[in-house]
Amino acid sequence: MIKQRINLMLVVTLALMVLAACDNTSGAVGSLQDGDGKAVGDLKNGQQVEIAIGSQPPGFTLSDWRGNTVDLMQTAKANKLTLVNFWASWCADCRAEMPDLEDTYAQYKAAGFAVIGVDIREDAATVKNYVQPDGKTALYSFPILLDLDGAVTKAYKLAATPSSFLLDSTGKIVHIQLGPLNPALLKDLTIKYGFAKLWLAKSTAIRNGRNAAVGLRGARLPWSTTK
Amino acid sequence: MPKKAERETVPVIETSARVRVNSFGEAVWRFFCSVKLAMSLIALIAFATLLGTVIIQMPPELLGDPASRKMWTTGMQPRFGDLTGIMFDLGLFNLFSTLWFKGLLAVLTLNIVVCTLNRLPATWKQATATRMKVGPRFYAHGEYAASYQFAATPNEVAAKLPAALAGGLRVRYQESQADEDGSRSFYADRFHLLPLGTYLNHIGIVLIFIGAIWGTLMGDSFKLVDFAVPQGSSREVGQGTGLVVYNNGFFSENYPDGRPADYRSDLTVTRNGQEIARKTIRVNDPLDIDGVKFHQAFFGNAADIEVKDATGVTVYKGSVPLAYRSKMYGPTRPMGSFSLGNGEVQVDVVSSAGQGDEQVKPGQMYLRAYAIRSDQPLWEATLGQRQSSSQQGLTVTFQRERLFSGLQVGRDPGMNLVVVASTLMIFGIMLVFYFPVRRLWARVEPREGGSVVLLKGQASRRAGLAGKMLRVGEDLQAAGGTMLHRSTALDEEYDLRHERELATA
Repeated sequence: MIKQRINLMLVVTLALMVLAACDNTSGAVGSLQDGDGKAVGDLKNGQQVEIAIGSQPPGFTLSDWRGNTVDLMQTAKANKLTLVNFWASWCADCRAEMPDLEDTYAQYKAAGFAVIGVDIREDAATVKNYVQPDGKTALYSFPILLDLDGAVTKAYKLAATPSSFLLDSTGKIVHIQLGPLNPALLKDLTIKYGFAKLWLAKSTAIRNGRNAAVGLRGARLPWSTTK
Repeated sequence: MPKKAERETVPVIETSARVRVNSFGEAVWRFFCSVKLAMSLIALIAFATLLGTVIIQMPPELLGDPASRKMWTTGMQPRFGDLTGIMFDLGLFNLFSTLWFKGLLAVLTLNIVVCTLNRLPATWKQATATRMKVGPRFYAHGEYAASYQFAATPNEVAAKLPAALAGGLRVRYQESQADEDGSRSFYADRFHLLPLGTYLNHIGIVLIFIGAIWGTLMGDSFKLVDFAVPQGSSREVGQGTGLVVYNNGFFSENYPDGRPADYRSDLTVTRNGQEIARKTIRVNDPLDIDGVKFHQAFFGNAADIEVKDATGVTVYKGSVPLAYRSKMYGPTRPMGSFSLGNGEVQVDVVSSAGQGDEQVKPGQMYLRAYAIRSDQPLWEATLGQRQSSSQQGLTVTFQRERLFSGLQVGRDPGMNLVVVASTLMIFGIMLVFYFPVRRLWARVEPREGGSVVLLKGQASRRAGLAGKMLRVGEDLQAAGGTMLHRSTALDEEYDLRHERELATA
């Protein structure tokens, strides 16, 4: 009797292991490529792409919440700097940083700064609710792609949300941020990677705004907001 | 001297302990000397501390504002129900600030002081006035006792004894002249004053209590535990400091496996418009300005809200930290609030509970306004980013979310005293536990054919006394003595040493 139970437990355990090893990625709305741009079905089957500064991360082609397709490596090679930001609407830190990403994108896109948002495992309706709350105007002009099955998220070995990867024009990673970005970090990164001149004009406006916030010009609010 | 009948009769008070005391003052003294009182107070304070730990406590900055206290307490209704009112009246939501808790500390402090003073004469006497010269009957019994016979005269043996007694002990007494029969007494000890270290411990405890209430007594201490400053915003510290703190940025980073790696805030502090400090603070690395410390404590999201009146004038524009978690509006959601209309109207701002929250979806804010005096709800709205709602002549807009740095800001002049007191306590405990008193009495007496040395030892704990006495015995035997007698405790120590030697051989 005991031997039969042990055998049953072994069979169940083996079955669970087999199921866990099965490919559950449908890839219905996108595709994943390895570092050389070759399409791969499933990185879990052994093909490991290094995610580190200096390496070229997995490329991918995904659809955004409107149904338009965006290819990461094409975007990276067409721009000076590309920020890939993994996020989700339920992630409070992600929601806090997105307006700053939009501001930076709006400021520097003409100069070759691209932003690609990758939403983790949420459907188009959920993302649309967040990005276009009034149903008419999108809050964010950079593409927000849908990683519906989480394959891209898994390929990038993400353990923290949000996470961002900065790619240069060759598609190589120059910076990894495991945590939210803020205006100070975005400023440092854009200055470091080629947008220094554009910051000179903006910094004066920022300083004046901050001085007003701390009462250096007289008016002082208990809670004052500056950008 | 007055005659007995003319002497003033002192009133006598019988206590329940059946100890006769001669005055009311002495009765009070004895009451505060009571160990039972101390144990009862400690138990009460421990229980109160436990309550203060498990029951959520009101942020200290709300204590001075009745309206804020009421609002906060109302927020506790879903959790505690009908008990909320009673708990508020008993001070269970601000337990450590209540008069009764401070009163318990004060009584315990008095109890410790009185007990300490009461015991001090006896302890001092025991430490300093040890009877060094003892008679022969003293050596008849004892846990640590031995005797050695010598063929030499008492004078010859007495000349060698101090060297044998020393080595780890200090010979503090030896008779310079022999008794009539030629006997001589010796006494050696070590750390005889260190039991007084317990008084350092008691002084430390008293100083900790004084340090804890020093700031309250002097009126210049404060502690703000929920001091939230959104990124890109500033906030006045208040409390008469004149300080304003600006949040240049909050940074949160994780390790690749997802574990938190670092939380830090880049702060600028100004006074009268002049920047006086800028520092990136972390949890254990605060910013200190004139005794006011800024600690990194927590973080979260804030909601940028703007309210305009019917003429388009902005009546409120700010970043509201959602620093509390409340079940006031359904499931536990992050929440904050701001005031309108000179504080007559409070607006609660509530964020989403997360995935699956259909009433307040991720990215939305629920706002509810009510009159503070009457709790009457005025209006409510659920807004997405950059959405507006018209409410009773006002236009309310939710602009965006941003991170805020949660700081603990405070000044506590008594803290230095607490640090000194803690050091005293640790020092006192070390003295008592790591330096036990060891005493050794010795007597040389003439015996037929020579002399005999009697040894007797005492220690506050075993403290290696047996080993020391065996070594004295070995030195005496090396000097020509023969062991006559050794107590059981010394025999056991001898056997133990012998076994160890065999084991290592």
